[in-house]
Amino acid sequence: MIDNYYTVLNCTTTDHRSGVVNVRLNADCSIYDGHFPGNPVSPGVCNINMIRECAEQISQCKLRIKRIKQCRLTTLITPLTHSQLDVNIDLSEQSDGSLKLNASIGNEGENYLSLKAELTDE
Amino acid sequence: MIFRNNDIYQLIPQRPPMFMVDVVWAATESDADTGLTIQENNIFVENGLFREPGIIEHIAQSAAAFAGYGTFVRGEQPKLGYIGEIKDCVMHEFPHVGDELRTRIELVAEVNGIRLINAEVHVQDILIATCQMKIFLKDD
Amino acid sequence: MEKNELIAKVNSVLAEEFEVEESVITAEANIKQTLQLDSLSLVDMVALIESEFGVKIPAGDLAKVQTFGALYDYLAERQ
Repeated sequence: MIDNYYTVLNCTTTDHRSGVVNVRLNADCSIYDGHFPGNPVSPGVCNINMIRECAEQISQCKLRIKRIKQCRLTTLITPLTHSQLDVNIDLSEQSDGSLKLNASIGNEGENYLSLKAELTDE
Repeated sequence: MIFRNNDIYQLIPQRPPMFMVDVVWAATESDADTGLTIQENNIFVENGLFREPGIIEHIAQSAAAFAGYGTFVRGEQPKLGYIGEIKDCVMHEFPHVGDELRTRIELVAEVNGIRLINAEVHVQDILIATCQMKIFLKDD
Repeated sequence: MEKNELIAKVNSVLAEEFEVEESVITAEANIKQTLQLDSLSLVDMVALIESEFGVKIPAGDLAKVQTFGALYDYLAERQ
């Protein structure tokens, strides 16, 4: 959705339900013109959207977030300090047809953002 | 005092293309009413719909503008704010381009620079989203 | 509310919200450590105390309420 926010370096999955996507944040994304001027900070909502898009890549389905049960953003992510990230995706089907997502963004054992959400097919 | 468009630059540090609140109707110590008209060129519009990141960012910036109203009244600069946590954010509908969001933010608690708020977003009487959120406001 | 009732309610409310056994909540125990509170969940605790007991704990006082015993006393004085 957001042009040039990130680049996928690698995507690994065995079952199209869980896997890891390695990404690089692009420091020249125009979103940083406004967030914030002179002080680029990767917006939490863009990182959440990046997780959704990675879940789409892993599952090969178009997905929308119906409900975020909990999202903890415990580390300030910037494209200059955290250029390489691992996006961990774990999807499981629920009896009502929705998908439960457990996801996180981190690097080298450190966790920056954790997300528990309910998704549906678009 | 109603704040619209560029007036809101006095309340929050965000700027286009990441500027997601275009009116602050009112703010008190405990709550605020804000709004946003969805423009076609909004970065979070896809296929004519204002999507999840836009809805959440609008809520976060509404909460920031609410806090910013307080700092403005005290003659201070707006603080940088970050989303610390989102809980039970239900997004019932995606608004369309041209829709006018109407949002209420209620302050539940404030501890050590973290504000806990509840938010409700409507388009007319259609409920778009509800959410609980914690915002860090950074002291310089 | 009698102090014993207050203590029982505090313990039950916090144990449920933060998913710990009531048995680990003792007067001498440190609140943050026992409930594993970080800066985000500390806000939830303050909000919960306010909604369950009607008592707001300002930042200055919060720093002094380190143990559950201190919390019981704090709330008892303000009920």
